[in-house]
Parts: sequence; structure tokens; C-alpha cells
Amino acid sequence: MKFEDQLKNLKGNVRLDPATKEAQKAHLLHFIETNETVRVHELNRQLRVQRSMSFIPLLQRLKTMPIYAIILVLAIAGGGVSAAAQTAVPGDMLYPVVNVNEGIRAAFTVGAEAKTEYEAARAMNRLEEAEQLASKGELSADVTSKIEENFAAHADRVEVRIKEFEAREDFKTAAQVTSNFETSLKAHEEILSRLSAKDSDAADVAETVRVKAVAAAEKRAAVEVKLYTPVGGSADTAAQASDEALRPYAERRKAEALRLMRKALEFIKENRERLNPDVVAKAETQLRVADSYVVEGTAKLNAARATDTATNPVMEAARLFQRAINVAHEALIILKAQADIEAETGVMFNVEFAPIETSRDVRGETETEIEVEVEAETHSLESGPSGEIKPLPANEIKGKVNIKLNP
Amino acid sequence: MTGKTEFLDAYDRYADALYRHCFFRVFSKARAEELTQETFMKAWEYLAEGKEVQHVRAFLYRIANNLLIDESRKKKEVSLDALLEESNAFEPSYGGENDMERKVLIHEVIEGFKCLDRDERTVLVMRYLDDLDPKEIAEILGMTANNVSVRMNRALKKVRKEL
Repeated sequence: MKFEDQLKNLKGNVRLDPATKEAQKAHLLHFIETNETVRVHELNRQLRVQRSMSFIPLLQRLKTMPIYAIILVLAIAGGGVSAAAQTAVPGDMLYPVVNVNEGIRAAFTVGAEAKTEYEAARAMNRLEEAEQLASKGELSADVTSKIEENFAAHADRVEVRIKEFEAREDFKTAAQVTSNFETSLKAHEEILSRLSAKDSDAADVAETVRVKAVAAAEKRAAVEVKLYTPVGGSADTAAQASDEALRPYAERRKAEALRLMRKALEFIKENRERLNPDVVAKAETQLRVADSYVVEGTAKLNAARATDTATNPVMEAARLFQRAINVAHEALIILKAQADIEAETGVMFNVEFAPIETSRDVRGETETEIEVEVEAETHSLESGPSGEIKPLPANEIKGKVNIKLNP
Repeated sequence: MTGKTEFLDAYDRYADALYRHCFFRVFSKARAEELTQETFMKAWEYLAEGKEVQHVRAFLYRIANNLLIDESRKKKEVSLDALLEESNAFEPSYGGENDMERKVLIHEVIEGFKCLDRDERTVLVMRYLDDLDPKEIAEILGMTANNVSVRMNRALKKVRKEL
């Protein structure tokens, strides 16, 4: 046997024994908990030094004093600082832990796509923090600038990674990530714009987000051109090649659309009492639109393969599923923002969704063909009071994202 | 979910590989276990400072390697001959079934390692035991992929000649 093969064979033969592994893990967990507590202590000490140097009134400085008590309570309760910090917003004593936790999650997230999605989620976390603070009128200029800086850092990383997908000619992932990013940005831009009536600093964040949303829209359009335009070969072979390559992608997009739609419906079901009935009705309308895209995409996917590249049904289906994802995703973001803001402030928001085209209007297909598929498909989306499946009612599209504070 | 969960998942994923890596550098079960744990503690400290990491696996190996370099500076290198004579001086841990076969395999590998210097052993362990490609090894060791390949081939030639 070759020496290199002997080495390879050792792989399965040498490893930590299970007891040692468990003991090491327990030790690591203890180390992390201790390390975390000390870190929060230190970060807050630094913060207090900075504040004292900037002549902030004593009363304000005293706000940070109970940190020792909080750390002690958390240590005794055993929940850990990390868990407690999950809901912290800028200005909270445990907020420094948020960035660290997210950084560690980012580092240990496996796969380029998952890493990019997580980085985008971190960008959205900053916007949600801004929304929470703005809803209470607590978005100061200092905090705004810090949030914008952190948001931009995450968003820039997302953009860099999208470029890397493009460079590797992975246009599917690039299109998917960009499209999700764009949708999230637009939804948050709307929420922040509406909240600027409550806190003028929210308008600055909304403007920063708008710039990124425009850039994301341009990038998405450019990437989609590359994704949906077959390269080289005759029209027929190009269409077939595209079909083969795109079909699994289209099916994954469909699964994702259905997952988000179910998630939104479940969210409505679980939070109905916290949600404005108007918002719920409008979100359900959005979900019906998403459903119509899914139904229509499914019809395309099941259709015979076209020979004309311009009307390749698999490409069309992928496009429709992505639209369904965007619509459902937007509904979910708005619903969550409304519920969070209501929970924070006790004030119900009135939300209206932007007018969107129905898939039928977009493509001008025959209605008979689609109606049959709608009936067959909508059963996958049901969510009755006891969890049973119910078809969604017929489409009725209207509205614009419009959040107002009720008096 | 906090970063803790992901970190402990990463421990589950990489601990055995890092332990093997350390063991075939220090040839001591206890020390390899300590170094594995120390690697993860250092990794957490680094991440807790908010520093970014692109490739976790390479990052962990880099930490382990730095610890091994520190180790070799502090201690005189272990004599593999002495180790082989004292058959119970090391026990590279739990190996599952067929323990005898495993011990023979380990002895053969250590026999082969006797003719190599520390750097040559390192690249062979990283390439064939850790399954890292020359580019990854180069990144971790701070050298070019070409130099890694040259060192690897030279080491293999030496072992073949010796065995």
C-alpha cells in the first residue's frame, strides 16, 4: 500500500473518543459563557469611559450602571448573555453582543449562498432596529449614523458576494439573492418612510436604503438577462439546454415560494390579535397574487418544452416563482414589522401594499387554462383556524405600502 | 439562535479532524486533545472581538498550526524511535473496531515519518489526512501552492525510498 493511502486510511481510525468530545464541548460552552459575560462588562466599561469624556450628564451615564446586576441575573438564570441579547437594540447594554453573535453565526454558516443570505439578513436586522427605535421616536442622529454605517457594511458585503456569483457564472444564485435582497430593501424603505412621520431620523435611513434598493434592482435586472438568455447554439438546442439546467432551479424556487407563503399564513394565524385586520386582509390579497404566480408557473413547468428560446416555459416558470417569492416575502416583512411595532408601542398600524400586476395581466395567458390549475394548486396553501387546509379566495389586487400611526 | 449554537456545531464537525492533525504533529494523545480544545477557544476569542472570518476550516487549521509552532518552539521534538519502542507511550484515541489493524497502520505511518522533517510531515498530514488541497494548505501555511506541491512530492519520494 502506498504511504499516502496509509495516511488516508487513518482518517476513519483516529478520532476523539465520544466521552472526551462531550467533556470538551461542555468545557467550551462554559468558556464561551464566561467569556461573553466578561466581554459585555468590558464593552460597557469602555462605553461609560467614552460617555464620561464627552461630558454627558451624570443621569444619562447612570443608565448603564445596572449592567452588573443584569449580568449576574443572567448568569444565575443560566439563559446566557447571548440569548438575552437577541432582542437588544442600539443603546441597550447588551447590544454589543448582537454584533458578536451575528459575526460568529456568519463565520460558521456553511456555503457561499447561505453566507450571502445571512449577510443580507444582518443588513435587514439593522433596518428592523431602526424601525423599532423610530416607532418609539428614539432614533437619535448618533444611533442613525451607526445603524447606517453597519447596514452599509453588511449590504456592501452582499453586493461583493453577488459579484462573485456572477464572476463564477452562477447566475441562478446571483439572481435569487439579488431579487430577495431587493424585495427586502424595498419593503423596509417603505416602512421607514412611513415611520419618518413619527421620527424624522427614519427618513435618513430610508434614503440610504432607497439608494441600495435602486442598485439592487439594476443588478437584478442585469443578472436576470444573463440567466434567462441562452448562450450560443441553435435556438432549439439552446432552449433544451436551458430547460435542463433551469428545471431543478425552477422547482426549488417553487418550493421556496410555497414555504414563504405558508410562513406568512402561519404568521397571520399566530398573531392575528396583534395585527391590524386591514393589514391582514391586504397581506392575504398579496398571498393570493403570489399563489396565482405559483399556479401559473406550475402550468408552465408542466407544459411541453418549447422550441423557441424566447418562450421557454421553464424560464417563464422560474421567473414567475421568483415573483411569488418576492410578493410573499414582502407580505411577511410588512406583517412582521407591523406586529413588532405594535408590540413595542401598543399602536396598530394601517398598512397598504403597493399595487402589483397580477400574473395574468403580465403575461396575457388564456384564463381557462389557468383557472383549472388555480383550483388544483391552492389546496397546498390552506390554513384554517385549526390548521386545516383552505383555498384562498379569488384575486383582488390593490394598495400601496402605507403605514400610518393610528391616533 | 445565537452564534454559540453554530460554534458548537462547528466543533462537532471539525474536532476529530483537528485532533488527528494535532496528533500526527505532537504524537501524544493528551497533548493533541488539549491543542484541539485550545484551537476552538482561540477561535472563539478571535470571533468574539467581532473579526470576520471567510473560511472557517482554514481559519481553524491556521490557529492549530500556530499553536503547534509555539509548541515546537517550547519543547524539544519528540523522538519517534523512542515512541515506537515504547508501544504504550501514545494511544491515538478511540478508533472503533479492529483495533489491532489500526495500531499496525499507525506504527507504519510513524515509521514512514521518521525520515521526514517537521515541515514535510506537516504537508503530508494536511494533504492526505486532513484532505486539504495544495491551495488551502498554502493559504494556511503562508506559502505558494507550488511550493506545497514540491515539498509534498519530495517528502513522498523520501518515504518511498526509506520504506
